[in-house]
Amino acid sequence: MKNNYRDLPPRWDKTNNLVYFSYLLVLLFFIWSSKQVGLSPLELLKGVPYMIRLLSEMLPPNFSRIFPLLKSILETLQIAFVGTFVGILGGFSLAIFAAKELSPIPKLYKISRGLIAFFRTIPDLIWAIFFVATIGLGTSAGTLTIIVDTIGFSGRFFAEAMEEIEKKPQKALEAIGISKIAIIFCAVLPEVLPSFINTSLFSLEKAVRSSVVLGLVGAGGIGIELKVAMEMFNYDQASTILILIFILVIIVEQLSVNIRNKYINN
Amino acid sequence: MEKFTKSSILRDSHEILKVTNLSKSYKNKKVLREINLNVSYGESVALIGSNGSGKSTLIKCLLGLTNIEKGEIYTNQIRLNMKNNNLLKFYRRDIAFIWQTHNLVPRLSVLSNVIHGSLNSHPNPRLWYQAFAPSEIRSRALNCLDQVGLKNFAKNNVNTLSGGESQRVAIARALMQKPKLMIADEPVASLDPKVGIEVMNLLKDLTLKQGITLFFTTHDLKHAEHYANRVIGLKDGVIKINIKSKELNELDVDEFYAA
Repeated sequence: MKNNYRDLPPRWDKTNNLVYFSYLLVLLFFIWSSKQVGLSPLELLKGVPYMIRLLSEMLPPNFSRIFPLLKSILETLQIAFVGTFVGILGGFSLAIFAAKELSPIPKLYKISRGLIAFFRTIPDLIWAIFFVATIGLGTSAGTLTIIVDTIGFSGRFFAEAMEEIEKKPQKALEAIGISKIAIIFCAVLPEVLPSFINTSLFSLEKAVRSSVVLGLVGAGGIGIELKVAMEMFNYDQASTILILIFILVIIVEQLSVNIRNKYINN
Repeated sequence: MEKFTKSSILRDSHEILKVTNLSKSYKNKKVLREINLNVSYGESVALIGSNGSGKSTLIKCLLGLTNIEKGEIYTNQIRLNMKNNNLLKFYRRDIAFIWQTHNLVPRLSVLSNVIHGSLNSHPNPRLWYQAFAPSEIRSRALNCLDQVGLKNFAKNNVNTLSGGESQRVAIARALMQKPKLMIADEPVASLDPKVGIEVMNLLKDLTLKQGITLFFTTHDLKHAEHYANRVIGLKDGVIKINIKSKELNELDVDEFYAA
């Protein structure tokens, strides 16, 4: 049998030279950037002995200050919990106005969208620095940071969830003269509930991780302990703190998985 | 409703539904042309016509779900006015609507869904969920469920219901409105024939018993003949047939449906 290679379709779609040129540009930018940021296997290798020394100083962990540290990690969880709770309420209220076709006041659609985007685009550490500078060091700055961050994160997902659901149950209630706000609570909310629970749990997980870091800039929680321990070369205490953080994150994530399985997957 | 003007009310009429010179087009295509239609209190009227004849558009116009281009619609002596939200709510209050699919709110209980039917006349946040609703409303909802034979399903999640059961819950929700006019757009088209007949019987019995006027569309001529006093046939946006349902079999229906 004779092979007829000429009939085969081309392996690659035709692209113009501009596309190849842009690939090349991306590659060049990567090479230049890695040089600029000092990413080199040699540097990494040189650091290995120091890493081993640090690890050996971290072990065994020093549990002498376990009670103040436990108090501090509880504070971290409380910042995350209160911040997420209030943030979700705020995110939900904003999302109602930011969901197209649903917004009770259509004029506020763009404003609420913009507000959510603004809260989301500024990183949490910047918010923390801002709140520490304006209301002072401590947990209230941290909680406010989590609130703002959660509004930005959950508000967007809430609004999108409300836009994406099946519209017919809402239409059916609209057709018999039921008000918009009632429709949001009796037709929209039950439909988006699984997605809301999911987003809220993700918000909590995210908040726990950020509230650990917030202490680094003085916004309360375990972060400040970690910073002090590292700066005072108390590496064995630092490792205790890391273990506590690890346990907290694992517990919250596991709880979140369990709740999700219970309420969403059936 | 102090905002009513004289022109919004049609007095001393024995018609529950009155449509005059209604026209509607989508993108330069005329869907309804100069429709004139009267339905008297207590009547049961079937609207027939092939796909694209304008049935669904007419229903949408009657409910104020789409803008009307020309003409007037009165139900219960009230003129449809889409520019005023309060008037529109008032207009819709006495009209119940059964969709082709039940359109119940998923994940809520049957009882909550039925209670929603009374939200237009009682705009009370306690009626959003059955758990908060006053006992009087809950008991009325249970009574409506009893009338469709689903009293024992009150606390069930609507997601667990079959198609026929869901449509019966939708009828219970409609009864909760205490409507004067019930409009149904192919209410049994998504059900199997046996369940469809059960639902149609239920619809007919309940409306007859409670003096509710029924206006429904159907593709099933047997349903039109059996469940309606009068049949209106729509073709290319024009009313071609307007007869007593008894006369339906004498008419050459094939010709009506033919292109």
